[in-house]
Amino acid sequence: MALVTDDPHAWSAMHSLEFFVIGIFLAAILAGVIGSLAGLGGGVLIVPLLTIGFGLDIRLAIGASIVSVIATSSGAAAAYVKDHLTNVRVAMLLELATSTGAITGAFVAAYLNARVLFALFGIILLFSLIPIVLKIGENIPEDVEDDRLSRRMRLASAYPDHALGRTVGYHVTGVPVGFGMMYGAGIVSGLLGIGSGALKVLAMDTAMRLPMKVSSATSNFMIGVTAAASAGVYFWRGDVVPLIAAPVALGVLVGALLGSRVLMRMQNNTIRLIFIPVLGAVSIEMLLRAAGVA
Amino acid sequence: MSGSSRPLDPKHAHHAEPTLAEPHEHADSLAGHPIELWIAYTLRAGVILAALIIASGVVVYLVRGAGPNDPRTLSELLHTHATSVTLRQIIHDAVRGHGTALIELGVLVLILTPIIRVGMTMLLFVGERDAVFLAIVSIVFVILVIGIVGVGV
Repeated sequence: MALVTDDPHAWSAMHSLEFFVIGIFLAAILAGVIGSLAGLGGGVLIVPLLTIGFGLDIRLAIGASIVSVIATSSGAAAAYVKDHLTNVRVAMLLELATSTGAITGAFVAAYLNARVLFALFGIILLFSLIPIVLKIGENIPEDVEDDRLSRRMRLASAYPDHALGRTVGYHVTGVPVGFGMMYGAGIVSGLLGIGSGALKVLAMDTAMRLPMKVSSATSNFMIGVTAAASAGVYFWRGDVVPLIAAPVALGVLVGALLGSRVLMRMQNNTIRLIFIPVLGAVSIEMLLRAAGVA
Repeated sequence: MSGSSRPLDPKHAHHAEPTLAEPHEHADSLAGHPIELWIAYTLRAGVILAALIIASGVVVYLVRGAGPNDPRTLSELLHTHATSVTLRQIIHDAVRGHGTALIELGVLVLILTPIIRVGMTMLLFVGERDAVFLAIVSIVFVILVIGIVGVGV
């Protein structure tokens, strides 16, 4: 219907639009693969990809990213349920904080200058390297006692650890501190259009002392819910542009599916070696953007 | 119902220290619950449905070309200014076969998927007769509904 125009320039211009959309799709597949290998869900790579790689306004990049975060998190969470790793009670309690934070973040984002968003993004990206670099959570925490809230809300639970071949019981502590950190993680998620899984895992691991496998699965459960809280704000505001959101969401989904197959055959250390330099370089690039250099 | 969890508190605290039997039992009752399986299926179905609608929107767009409100060139896309979206407009355009409106419908289904999941988790705690968590999940659900209804936009 609109394909026929009498302007010869319009024809080539429209096809460059199509190539652009296909380019985003292919790049999103790659982001989905890398993201699922690193356990970060891919959202954290989408915004740098769309802004630095494709020259998009950071707000529209964030709008497309938040949608893709829901897609990958919901897809992965379905698989985790069967493993009995997710602590639904912990997730729902903390979701009070993250979803409120996410809506706050989405509203605040509209008032922030693009360079501030770039700066925040770069800093958060560097932070998300901490758990990977420090190899946080390789051991099951010992001597943890339930705090008052944990006892009252019966947060303690157990999970089957296949590597150890037994069921591991665990307790939950530091609920108020974890709750506060989760509000921060929610704001970051809503502000930057990412799942902020690294921050969530950090809160559950360091403050609440949950076993790593439980933290990861519970974080994944929460990411989609947190993202859904702010996605509505972005959507109605018109920041989710269909021709950008479609290739991003579909690409990241395909990439995550591919990535989860490769993951079975890869060593943890290989993943770290690939991922640390990539994330480091991307965060420096975002900070340079913020400074107006790049 | 609201009293059911409180009197258990002190007892529970004593139980939790010497043996892990109770937390264990608890984990099984939640994760192995049939509603949890339904939640997993709902999540998967929601994502697949959303992906199919979005993909069909892309196909329609490629076949029929840009609609009246769509960017026609790359520079138009790159300089898109966010204009607020309404459900009425999306349905109006989707019915008329605009690819981008179909994509927006798919995105809406995607956003609704985790929200429906939380709604189903409410049922889980109704089944467990756990008033405290029923209240917590209900509040989360309300927050999410406020987010998707788009208050203040």
